[in-house]
Amino acid sequence: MKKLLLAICSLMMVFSVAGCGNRIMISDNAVIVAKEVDVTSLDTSIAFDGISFEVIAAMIEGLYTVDKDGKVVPALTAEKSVSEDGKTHTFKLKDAMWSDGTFVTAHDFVFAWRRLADPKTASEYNYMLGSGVAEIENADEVIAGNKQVEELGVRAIDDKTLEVKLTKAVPFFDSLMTFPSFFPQKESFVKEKGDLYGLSPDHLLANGPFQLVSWEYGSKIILAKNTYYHDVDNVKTDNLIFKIIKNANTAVLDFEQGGNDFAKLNGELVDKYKSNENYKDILDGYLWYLSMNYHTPGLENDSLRKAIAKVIDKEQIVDTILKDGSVAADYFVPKGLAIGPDGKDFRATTGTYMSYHVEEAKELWEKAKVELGLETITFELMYEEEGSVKNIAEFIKFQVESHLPGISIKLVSLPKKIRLDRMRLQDYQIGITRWGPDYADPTTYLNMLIEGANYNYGSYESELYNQLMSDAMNTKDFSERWTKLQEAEKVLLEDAAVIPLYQVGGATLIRSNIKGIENHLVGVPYIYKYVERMK
Amino acid sequence: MSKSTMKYIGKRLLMSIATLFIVILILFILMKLMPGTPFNDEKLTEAQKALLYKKYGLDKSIFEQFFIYIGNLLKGDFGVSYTIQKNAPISMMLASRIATSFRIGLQSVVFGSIIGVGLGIIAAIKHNTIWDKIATFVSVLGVSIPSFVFALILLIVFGREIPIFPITYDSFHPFLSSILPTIALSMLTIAQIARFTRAEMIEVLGSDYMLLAEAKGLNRRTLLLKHALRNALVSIITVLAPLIIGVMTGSTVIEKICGIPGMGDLLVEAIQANDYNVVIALSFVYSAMYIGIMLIVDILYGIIDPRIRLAKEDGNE
Repeated sequence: MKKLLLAICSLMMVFSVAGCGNRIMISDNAVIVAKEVDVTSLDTSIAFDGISFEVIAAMIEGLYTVDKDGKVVPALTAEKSVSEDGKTHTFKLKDAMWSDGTFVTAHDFVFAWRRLADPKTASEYNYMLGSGVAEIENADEVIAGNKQVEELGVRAIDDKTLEVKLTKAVPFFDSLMTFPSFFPQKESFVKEKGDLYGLSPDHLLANGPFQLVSWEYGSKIILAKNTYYHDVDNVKTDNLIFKIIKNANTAVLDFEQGGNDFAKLNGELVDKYKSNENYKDILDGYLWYLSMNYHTPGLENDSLRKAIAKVIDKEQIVDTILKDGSVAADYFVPKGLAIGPDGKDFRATTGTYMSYHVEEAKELWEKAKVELGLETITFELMYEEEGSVKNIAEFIKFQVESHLPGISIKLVSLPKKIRLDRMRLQDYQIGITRWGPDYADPTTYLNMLIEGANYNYGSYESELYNQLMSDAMNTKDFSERWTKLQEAEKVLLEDAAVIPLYQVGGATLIRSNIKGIENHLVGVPYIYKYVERMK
Repeated sequence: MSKSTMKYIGKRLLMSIATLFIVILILFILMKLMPGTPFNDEKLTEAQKALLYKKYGLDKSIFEQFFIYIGNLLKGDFGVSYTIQKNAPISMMLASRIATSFRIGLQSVVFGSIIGVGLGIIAAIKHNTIWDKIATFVSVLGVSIPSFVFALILLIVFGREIPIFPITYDSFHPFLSSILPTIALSMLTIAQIARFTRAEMIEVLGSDYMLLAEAKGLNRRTLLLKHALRNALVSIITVLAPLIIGVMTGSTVIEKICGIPGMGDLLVEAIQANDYNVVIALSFVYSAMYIGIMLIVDILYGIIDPRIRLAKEDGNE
């Protein structure tokens, strides 16, 4: 018996000691950010999620980055020229180094982009290179395996000059370059590390503000200032730490104890912390909306769709159901997503549509009854079982049924994957769904509803809308393009082809002496280059 | 160890390996029946999905996949993760997590058993007194209140109100930061062990041979520890085995609440994300541990109680 106890105790000692290996020095000015999920990958060709992008962008720089106001500003680009037809972009690179002391070259970009396009990489973000997005020459063919990666429209003229050829002018090309998928990779290093590239500190090179010191899966990522960084003087903190805490309550307790400086709140916690000096509302790029399937009998009727659009009180959804900093949306292109040629946010120069108005909704329903020749109709409202969506679905059912007598809503709850599949197959009537932006331009939302587009699940077909979108696509005048896009959004919403519900917000605790965390709706959600712990 | 014992263990080991293979096969089939794929992003096109399927060999038939998997497994390769730590070898993902879960589990079993046996003995000796009532009350609490509630209470009291312990697990201070989760996790062990110890001890203490031993004039200490407790231990080990497995393989909820990067936490994430290889590798580890612990328990029976034989000596089973 004693022997057994002895054995157990020694085993425990071994495990305890095993955990204490190579201690890392953490400076006093370290900033600690709590995250609910771990990084998926630090390989820029593989990463596809927000937290991965955040950590990558803290370590690696591309041609451009985004400043605190959301403006696209040069990162590794020293000079840039665009050909007359807008199809050839030439970038001159700054003198910048990798964390192994070698220079970042144009070849590093060529290698990274080819690797992104290579079907063998099977990147989930390879489409960023191709049509509808960056429009790089031959990208679609390379991704499909019909052309060699060497044929991709990107080449290094010399070590410091990168040339990109596009199939057509892309007004937001520089903005795309802020996306980690377009960041450089050092070929010899990536090849040497092979399958283990990006998985641990020894297998990753940085050229940005920080470099990887430790990555404990599911627990902690520690970064330290990268002394090779070309703008190292502006990096104010010596350590940036990401602590993975899956439970929001725990993250907040940890915040209160001083264990982290940044923690997201959920709806239940918001009430308690709303008056806290560290509380902040941060808008997210996701927009939830109702997708209306035009193949459903009744839903092809304009008045009926509009009646439903006007009967939903979105303020109540965000104030009483979500309570997490989300905002009611009478618009389809989110706030803070894209800055126009005038330097202003898309939303600042355009209106809102189809706001909550019960009386108008009732009139529209009366009109619809006459037009359709019916008194009662039933629709299925499809939603996923996760989070607050169920409560929102019930709320919509209640509002429609109580204000528009004759319409009944049948709730259909499905796992998210199945809901998506059903919507993709157009096997739904009304669906609660969401969309997150892929790049900082209104077309990341508006392209979805063009006739025949992949994500036009409800088969919205409007000649006027298609015309406005194609005008916007083909004009060379960027302010005209902007106006066309704003008009298109108006047409879309006044048709009630989609019924926006709310833009997701993130109620967050950020310690008041932490400055310089920059938030963005698209691409890299948070940029930490200037983060600093004030005294 | 006798020859027949060795033979028995050998047989058990062979059966264990067969069981593990069956577990993997069943998992393979179940995973395929589950809706969805590891690649669930609504923005993935069919072409992209096809690329991903091809890259990871998921376009092959399920039996082909099974045999490739077994082949790799025999080489010690568990494959790579599809989503959680994309393209990371599973062995790399699991190493630290198994160690963490195992250590915290072990701590809680040892702590829980010592406290549980102690409580049980006190309750049995002071049968029907206030001490017995207190011990029973603690057991009822331990069984009826879920461990995550304890964890939250402990975090709030000893993390926030009286900040002695860190709120989240910290690999830089692995012992200090695992004390609260260890205590929370051991509540069930304490409760179960205390109840069984009490019941067994009361029975043993009331038996004739104890009366004889007492009559022989043995001191109380020897009487309790050497005679009563040893006899009570046999049945305690029976309850302990499943408890050990439960806590050692990691407690999902406790791990989530205390921010422990352990196995349970990973398993839930992997199932939700359809990260096939991670689920299968973890289930493999779970099954192996289960079978291993059961075997150890069987052997322990023999050591504690020589009357129990692992296999019949004449071998006519």
